[in-house]
Amino acid sequence: MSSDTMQSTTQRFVDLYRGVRTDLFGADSKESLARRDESIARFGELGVPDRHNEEWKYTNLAAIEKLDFSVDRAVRALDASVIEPYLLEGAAGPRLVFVNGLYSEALSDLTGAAQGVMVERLQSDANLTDLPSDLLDRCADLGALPFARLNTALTAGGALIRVAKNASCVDPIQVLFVTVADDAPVASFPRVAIVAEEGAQATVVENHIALAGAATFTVALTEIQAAANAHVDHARTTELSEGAYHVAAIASRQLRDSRVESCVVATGGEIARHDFRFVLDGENADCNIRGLASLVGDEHVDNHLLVRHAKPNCTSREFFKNILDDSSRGVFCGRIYVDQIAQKTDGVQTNANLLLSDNAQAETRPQLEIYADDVKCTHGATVGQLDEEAIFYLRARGVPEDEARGMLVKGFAGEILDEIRIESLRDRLKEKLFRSTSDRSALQTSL
Amino acid sequence: MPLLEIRNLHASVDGHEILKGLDLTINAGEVHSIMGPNGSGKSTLAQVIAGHEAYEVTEGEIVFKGEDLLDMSPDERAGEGVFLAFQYPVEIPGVSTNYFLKSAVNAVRKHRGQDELDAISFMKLVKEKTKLVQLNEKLLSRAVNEGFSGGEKKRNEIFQMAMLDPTLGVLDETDSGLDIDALRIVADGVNTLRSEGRSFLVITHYQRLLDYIVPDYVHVLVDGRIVKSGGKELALELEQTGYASVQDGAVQTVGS
Ligand SMILES: Nc1ncnc2c1ncn2[C@@H]1O[C@H](COP(=O)(O)OP(=O)(O)O)[C@@H](O)[C@H]1O
Ligand SMILES: [Mg+2]
Repeated sequence: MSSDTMQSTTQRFVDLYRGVRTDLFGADSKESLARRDESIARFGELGVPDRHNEEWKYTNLAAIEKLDFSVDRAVRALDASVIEPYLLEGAAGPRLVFVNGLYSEALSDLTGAAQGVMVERLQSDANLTDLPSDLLDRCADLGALPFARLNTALTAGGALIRVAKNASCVDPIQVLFVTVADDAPVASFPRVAIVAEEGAQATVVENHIALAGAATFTVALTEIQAAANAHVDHARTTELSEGAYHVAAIASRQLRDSRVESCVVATGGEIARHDFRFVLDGENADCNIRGLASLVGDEHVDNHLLVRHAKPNCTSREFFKNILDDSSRGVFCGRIYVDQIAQKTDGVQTNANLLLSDNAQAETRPQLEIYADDVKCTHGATVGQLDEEAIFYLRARGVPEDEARGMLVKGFAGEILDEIRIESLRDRLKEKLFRSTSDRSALQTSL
Repeated sequence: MPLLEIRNLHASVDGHEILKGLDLTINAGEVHSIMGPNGSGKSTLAQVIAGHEAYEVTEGEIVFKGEDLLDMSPDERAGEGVFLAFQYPVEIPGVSTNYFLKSAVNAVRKHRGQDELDAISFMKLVKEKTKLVQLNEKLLSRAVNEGFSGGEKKRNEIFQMAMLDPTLGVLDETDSGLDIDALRIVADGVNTLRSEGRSFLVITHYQRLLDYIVPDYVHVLVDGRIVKSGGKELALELEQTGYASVQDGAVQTVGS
């Protein structure tokens, strides 16, 4: 890809910004506008990455060059039945729904927040500076992500969830972003900020659903801030359709004795790219990130991960798995970075890939960068196929072949999915992944 | 009609012929034992009967209940009543025994024209059959064979056999890796399952197991062929003289 191509793509997003700048929320605040202007300028410098960019070596965004994205100015009406399958069953917590990045009053329900839990939408009277603004700067690398900058410039909506000191939300708060395009390509810039104050406990489910239709491009940013002793349980799904491109950054900063769990599941679409930037910035903090992608056709998922241990005695676990069928591709590039002072760091990072077809491809690069001398860090990666001996074992017990394969795939995924505590979400995802497996088998037998 | 009839079976792996013209007939309710030195082809025979695709049958036939067994998929064979207890039970991460076995039991029941079991009747059956081999029920909700001790794996095999109610149970070195107490438990389980309608092919390297599961016939397999057949006393004889003595021995056939 020539950088010329990407330069014109970059310019188109800058122009897009100029067109909507004063209509975005917070435009009446000087600080907000300054923040957006600064972000778009930085985005312009960084540019849409081409493949000469080491961080984007395996993920080619050239396809978006051909698409002329616009942003919605008014929220589209969407039938409630469309989002119905994605809603958490029996959850009493608040629900925020966005269509192409704009808040949908009709589909949302802000009631049901527990004591001490504030759930707000980012809107006209909100300021971008209300967000945990130091986060971007603290995680220097997040600032270097062009799309995180683009999100800050162009975001037109999102959720701000703040759990007060020692408060807890047991019922999950659900934030649902739906993208839909009828005939012209649409871009959206959703934003989620989760702030758990000292000793607080937050449970948040974030779903990104791209409906079938024309191309959509989603540039998302999630920020998590966990104060001392706080506990954040975060689950995020990227459920795309054909023609959908999704680029997201998920950033987290933790203070002492806090725990952040994040489970990110991706399926469908053209490209899903997740950049994780987690910083353990207080002693005894603990983070656990799990990722699962299940892909068919020529779907593509790229998980880039940087977990920085900035203080001693922290623990991090990163387990990522990909199920790759047809000619799909899974990319994993993970790094545990241990600062010199971060003694007694305990870090484990693994990436396992299951190839269900000869044409599927996995690129995996788990890495460690360690400047402290007393740490326990391991990493590992595997790329393999279904174990034929295991399939034979199940068949010899009477299980038909398709079902045996499905069981193994489900078993592989289960090690990630079983950790999701919200039952209806876990069951729905299992059903979705399992169904697509048997659909795949059905497809293969009919060929 | 015999339950199982193997005629002139030749089978290869990766182009190497391992079974070189094997004949074996098992009637309903009989217990046959196959003994033989390591590498003689015992597991190969077991895997061919169960339908492992890595083993290519180049000549001969296997008739089970009057039908061509080689023409059936492994799962069809299980439905027809063939069960193989693996010498090396496979570990399957992420899949619990309870979970897959419910599908397995219902698949073979369907094949046999029986009603599927609901969750409650399945669990009742599990309770009953785990007792047979004193298998801790808790193991069944863990990933299949993962982290099981050698003895637990073998007991899990016999438990699954009891659940699937086969007409032919092929036990491939079920005794290996078992201490004497575990061996007794497993053998008792198998003996409980012996009946007029069920036959067994007990593969073993050592005579020891046959003290507990007393066979009707013993065959000696050497280099892909059965070189000697006899009654249960043949096992004792082998124990004393070793396999070398029978390698050039006259081939006898037993059974109907
Ligand atoms: N998958 C295989 N590939 C190559 N050789 C094999 C394979 N399986 C078995 N063999 C060979 O076939 C012979 C018989 O093996 P096996 O049937 O396992 O013997 P036994 O069970 O009597 O010890 C041995 O020489 C073994 O090395
Ligand atoms: Mg063997």
